[in-house]
Parts: sequence; C-alpha cells; structure tokens
Amino acid sequence: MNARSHDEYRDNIGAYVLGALPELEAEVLERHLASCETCRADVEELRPVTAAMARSVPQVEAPPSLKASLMEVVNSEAAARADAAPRRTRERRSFGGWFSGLQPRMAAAMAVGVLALGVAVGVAVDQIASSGGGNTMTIAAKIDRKLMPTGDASLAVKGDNGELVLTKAPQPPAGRVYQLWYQHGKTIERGGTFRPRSDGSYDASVPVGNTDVVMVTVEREGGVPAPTGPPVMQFSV
Amino acid sequence: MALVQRGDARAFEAIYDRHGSVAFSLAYRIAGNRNAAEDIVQEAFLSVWRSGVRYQPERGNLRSWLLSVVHNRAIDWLRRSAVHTKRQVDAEGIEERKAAPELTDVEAFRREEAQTVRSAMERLPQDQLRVVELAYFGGFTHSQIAEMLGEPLGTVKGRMRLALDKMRDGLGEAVA
Repeated sequence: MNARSHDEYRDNIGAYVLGALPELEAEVLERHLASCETCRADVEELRPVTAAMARSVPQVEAPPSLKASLMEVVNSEAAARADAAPRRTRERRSFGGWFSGLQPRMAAAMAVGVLALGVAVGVAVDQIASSGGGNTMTIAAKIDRKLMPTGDASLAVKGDNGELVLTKAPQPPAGRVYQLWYQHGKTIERGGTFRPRSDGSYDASVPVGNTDVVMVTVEREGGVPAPTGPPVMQFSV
Repeated sequence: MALVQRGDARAFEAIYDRHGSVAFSLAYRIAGNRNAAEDIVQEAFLSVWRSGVRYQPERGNLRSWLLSVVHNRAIDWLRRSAVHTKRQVDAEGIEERKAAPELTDVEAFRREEAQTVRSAMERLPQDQLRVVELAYFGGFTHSQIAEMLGEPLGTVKGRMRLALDKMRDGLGEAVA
C-alpha cells in the first residue's frame, strides 16, 4: 500500500459511510478495509452517526398488511424448514464477551472490569419464549446466583416496551438499592432505582426500543451514574 | 437473532414487532411513498430471515444493523427506479406519531434521541447538510451530487467527511 492510494481511500470513507460511493468503488474500498486497520477504525467511528440519522427520521406506523404479508412468507418457509430438518436444540449463548469494550454514556468512568468479572460465573441459561400471539417475547433473566441466590425475574417485550417482573427477590442491603441499566451497542445508559416490595415482588415498565441488554446492579441509595459492580441479573433483548 | 438464523418464525416476528415501524419510517423517508417503503422493508426483512445477510453484534446493536440493511435496500430501490429526482414527501402522509397526552418513557426516549440527532444536523453548515441529505436520504452518489451542485468531487467528499466528523463530535457519546 502506498501513501497516495491510502489517502485516496480515506477521502472516500465519508461517502462510503453515507452510502454514496458507487458500487464498484465501494467494493474497492471494502477490499482495502480488510487490510487497513486505520481506515477500518475510521469507518467504525463514523457508522454510529449514520445509524443515529436512520433512527431520527419522523416516525410513521407501518401498515398491518406489511406484517401480514411478511409473516405469511416467513411462516411458510419456517414450516418447510421444519419438515426438511430435525429440530435443533437451542443454542446456549456465551457470556464471556458481553461487557468487553463497553463505553459509558456519561463521562464518569465505568467499572467494566468489575462487570466482566462478575458475569462470568453463576448465571442462568437464557430462556426465550413467545406468547400472546407471537407479539410479546418473554425473556427470562440471567441471574448471578452468587449475588442473588433466590428469586426470579422476567422481561416481557412488546414492541419498544418492556415489562420487568421480579418475584421473591431479596431486599438489597441497607443503604443500597437495585439500579437498572440499558446497554445499546457500546453504550450503557443509566436507569432508575428500585426496591422490591416486602414479598420480593416488583414490576415496572422499561424502555427497550434501542436496547440490547437490560441489566440490574446493586448500588448505593439514590443511584450512581455508572455501574460499580457486576449485574445481579440481565436480559438479552 | 440467533433464533431467527435457526428459522424461528416467532423470534423473527418479535424482531419485526420491535423494529418494523422504525424500519418502515426510514424506508418511507427515503422512497417517499408507502408502497415502495413496504416493498423495501419486506425485501430487507426477508433477506434477514433468509440469512442472506449476517448480523455482527460487534458492529452495532440490532436496530442499527437492521436499519443499515433497510437503508441499503432503499438506496438500491432509488437507483433502480426512475424517480431519482428531487422528491418531496407528502406532508400529510408523513405524520409524526400523534403526541399522546402523556408520553411513555419509551416514546419520550425515542423522541429525545431523534431530536438530538436532528439538532446536530441543523447545526451543520448548509453546504455540508445538503450533501449529507442528498447522499444518505436522497441516495445520490458523490459524483452525482458534485454534478448537481456544480462543485468539484473533492469538495463534495470533503464536505461529507467534515459533516460526519462534526456530527460525531456533536452527538458524542449519545451515538457511541
């Protein structure tokens, strides 16, 4: 790679991220990206900007007929696949990489290392079930049983809304509360704090529109700007 | 998403329920009409279902990735179609969701995020904003934009890059 061609590639990165490179030029740049870490990093830095632009457009409700025709095709292809292949077992998701490389939204430093250490042990297997005509997906919590030995939790996701339900959850220690966190991409956003009722139950609506993982940690009363410890539970949305 | 890749129609439906409307909104913003937007979204989601395209979590969250699939399909549609002229979306057809008397957290969060992005765009110098909009929402290539504006190609590329850098800096960790 010579310096001149590298500069030419870099000059095209803005147009590439905006989708404004002609197909052939985009392919050429992609070949360069495969071998150039600097340009790849450049692209990755700019991608979130166009992703944010995509999400910022005025919202229009999709017509129900779109979903109906889409699901007709999908259901028929799913049935064909099921006939053609034996039922597969559900894959267990690896836990190791959940928190690597996370960045807090706020300026405060986040204890990423602490989080990563904490989730590596004692968590429940992901269980996903659909209900309510397929429109609501109920996600069982991955609970760190060393931190929360009793109780259960689930998150029912419908569209952008989540309903968090805890049962028989232990009370956090005196002066401490549970705090919600919303991870999307490499960002973690702060959520509210709560204490379960005396019977260990708790329920709340939580926004999951752009969220990949909902987490709960134990923090000091009033909450903190960034997690200080590993999650006691989390939901992979 | 792993369930979808293994052919779970209900998991796919849940994903559509979560992201279908925002995908449709983007397709509509680009294509400018509902029928085309439906075709684009259907094509994009079916490509996801059929695993023709793969989700890579390390490159962003699921919604952003789905929207990039929809964006690519919409741009393909624009370039295939003969309507690649200046389009004006019918103001009556692009109603924002009606403001509820009490916004839910979710709606409030989404609107706040959208407003942040729009504000960052509005702060761009006009010449930079124009090339970004023509490229991202208009589906024009850099050389088409250069020709339309009567500017050298290098200038257009430079404006695109400057605009993206400014937006990234302006949005900061909101888009990290």
